[in-house]
Amino acid sequence: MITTLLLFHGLLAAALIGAISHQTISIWWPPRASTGSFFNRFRAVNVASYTNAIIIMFVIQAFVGGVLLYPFYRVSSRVVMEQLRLAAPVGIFDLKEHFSTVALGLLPGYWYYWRRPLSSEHTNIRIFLTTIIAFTIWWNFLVGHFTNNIRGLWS
Amino acid sequence: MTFYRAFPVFSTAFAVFYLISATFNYALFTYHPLLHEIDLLAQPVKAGPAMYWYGWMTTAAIGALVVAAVGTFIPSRWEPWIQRAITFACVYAVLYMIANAVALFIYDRASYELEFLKHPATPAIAALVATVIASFFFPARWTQRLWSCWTGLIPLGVMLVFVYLLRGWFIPSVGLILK
Repeated sequence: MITTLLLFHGLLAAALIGAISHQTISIWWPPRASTGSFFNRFRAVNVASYTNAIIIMFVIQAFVGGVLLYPFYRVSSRVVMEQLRLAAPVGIFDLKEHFSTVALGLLPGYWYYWRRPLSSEHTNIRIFLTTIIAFTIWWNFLVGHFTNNIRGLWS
Repeated sequence: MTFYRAFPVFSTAFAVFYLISATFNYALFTYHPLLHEIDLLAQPVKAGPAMYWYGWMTTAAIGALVVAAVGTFIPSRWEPWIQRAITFACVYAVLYMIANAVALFIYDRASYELEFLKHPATPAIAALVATVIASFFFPARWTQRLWSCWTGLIPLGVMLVFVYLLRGWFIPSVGLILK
């Protein structure tokens, strides 16, 4: 059951990473006239249409990770990591928990500023919020994988 | 204020309430994962670890919902004053942390006892004076420009505070790497 949930969590994280990366790159470096390059095609997407998908995936991730998986981590993996004195991995996972919560709370504001029609006066705050959420998603993804594979990393 | 304006207000307030509830352990309930039990408010460990995270989130969500709901009833003509008040509070918070760090730095290095530097009122008063002076030089158009940015700045600040609060987990590892 846990393995299935972890797999689902990982797969959804990959989809979320893809969506938020498209949106972030596109909003920081808006596409110019099509050059056909990979980078230009990567950012030449309808960024606003990603917003609802990102919010839904983030909420599902928070539920799967926070409600279904987190208690297992808390009673098993974390205890072992503390016994092995792996302080930094425990700390970065605690940061993942806090960053996720702050980003989860940020989603209503993120949705508000990405509402269509997009207002030009809110471009900067859109960039700002999208970047914070993108950073959180990438942090969660990397820390999650790092913690999941920690036994192999330290053997 | 329109109904939709409550969304960014909720996001900003949620980050602040979450920081407060996690720092001071104002959990609305405690979950004991080994026992599958839920207790009201923050409770000590029973068997296995106690999880406060869900309780902190709930506390923060309730607090933010109240602030967002109140925000929808505030008339637009009050907005400039609220903008100024939030700017004042945020500048004060930053200056307080700086003043506190400076006071402790001087206290540690002073050759004689400067007991007043350890008193919480010292950085509080210094930060208040500095904020009042700064507010005279802070143009109103800047507070207007910052208005929507608080939705990002405050949660970002909260994330940085968490990094600072959890530094104890990393400092030994950083020391080992630097060795």
